[in-house]
Amino acid sequence: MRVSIPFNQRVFRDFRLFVVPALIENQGRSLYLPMIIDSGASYLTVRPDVFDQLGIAPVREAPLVTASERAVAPLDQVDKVTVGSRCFAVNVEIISIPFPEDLPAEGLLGASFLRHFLVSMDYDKGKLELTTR
Amino acid sequence: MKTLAIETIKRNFPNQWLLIEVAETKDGAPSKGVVLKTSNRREEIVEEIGRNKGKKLYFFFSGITAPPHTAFAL
Repeated sequence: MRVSIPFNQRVFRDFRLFVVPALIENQGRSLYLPMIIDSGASYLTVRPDVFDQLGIAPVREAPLVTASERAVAPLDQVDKVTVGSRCFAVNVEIISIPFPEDLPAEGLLGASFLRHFLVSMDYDKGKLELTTR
Repeated sequence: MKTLAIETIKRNFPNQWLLIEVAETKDGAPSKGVVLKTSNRREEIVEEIGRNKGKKLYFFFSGITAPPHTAFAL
């Protein structure tokens, strides 16, 4: 089933980023966050303060390589992540890293979520689609 | 507290960090909600997330955080 995903048109126009509201559910908490669709990220990624507020207790540290540094990042999983009306995955691995304040989103939707779908990003038509397997 | 369209909330609280209790969604995205807290300091809103366990929340910034055509390489 192919699903068209609504995204922030202004951020797309200004920065060519697909930013979507993703619902993260964990231990009784339900939080929509604006997230960048990022096939270059291995994991669902949020800032450390939001990571804590979601009630996540990291089980281990993952080695981390970004565009500018090497470090480690706390890693755990959240119960469920949903994008659009019907695209969800359960037990999604998540890490936290301190993004710059001027990032136009709260985090990245990386491979730990995207791997559950076929992802289509049409930059010319401004269209984002996820296809469930 | 009044339920408002998310677009109305963005217009009423420009360039603010917002915590919304989601009342309705459309195509999986929050479309209406109740404003729980606003601030120009991000950390004040983040602290409220844990205090509202059990509610369906939406946390975002109502403006744009960077000048147009800023390049991002994450």
